[in-house]
Amino acid sequence: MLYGGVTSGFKAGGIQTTSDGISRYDEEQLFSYEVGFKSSLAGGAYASMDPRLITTIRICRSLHL
Amino acid sequence: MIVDGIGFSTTSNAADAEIYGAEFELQCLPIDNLFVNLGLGYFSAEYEDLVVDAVDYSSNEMTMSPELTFNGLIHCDIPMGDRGSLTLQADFNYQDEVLFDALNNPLMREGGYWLRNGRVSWTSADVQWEVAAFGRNVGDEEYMVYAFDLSFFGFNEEMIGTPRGYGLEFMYRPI
Repeated sequence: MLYGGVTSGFKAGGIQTTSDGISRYDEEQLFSYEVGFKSSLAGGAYASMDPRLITTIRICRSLHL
Repeated sequence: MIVDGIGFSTTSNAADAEIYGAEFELQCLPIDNLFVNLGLGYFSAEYEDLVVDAVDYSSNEMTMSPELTFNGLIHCDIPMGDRGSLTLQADFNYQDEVLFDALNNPLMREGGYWLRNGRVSWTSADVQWEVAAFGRNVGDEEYMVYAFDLSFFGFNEEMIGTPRGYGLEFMYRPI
């Protein structure tokens, strides 16, 4: 079974007190994608996988923009 | 990212950062009553562009990001009919070097280490009773889970991981 995903995320900025007074920091944005491969001895869909041997390979990459 | 200084932790934005990784996992039942799980991970996390208070952190490694991780578990059930069943389990976990500080200060790091745990248990045939003995960090690995650079105050704070420990468990399940 081959699978993949694309994710995008956002985290709000804020304000904080520092030794120099009050400062603000910006929001964060994330873009991420991954592909993976899951296989079993006899193959088949995930739900019916042969439990004797299951192999999973996953590759991902995230970018903070 | 957190920059320490004068008793404050300050959040600063990294203009750019990149993380990529790959994982490999194997789950296997080679014979009856034996389960084996192995996992291998590769991870790379870097600040691409980060300058705070004229200090350049660009291309530094992110904190708490081991490049390599490796883990495994063996679980074995031994059925004994009327006398219940015995379960043996051993697992291990390896973590490559981690840095605790965005400056990548060589004092704020922990080298790679292995943690090993084990557990033996007996369960009664009616599965109502269970007795188990377990050991955690049986190799008595000494490691830091986190550290703060407080050299401004003349010392660093180091949080040490749980040392070797043993225990017994008794369980009764009213059914």
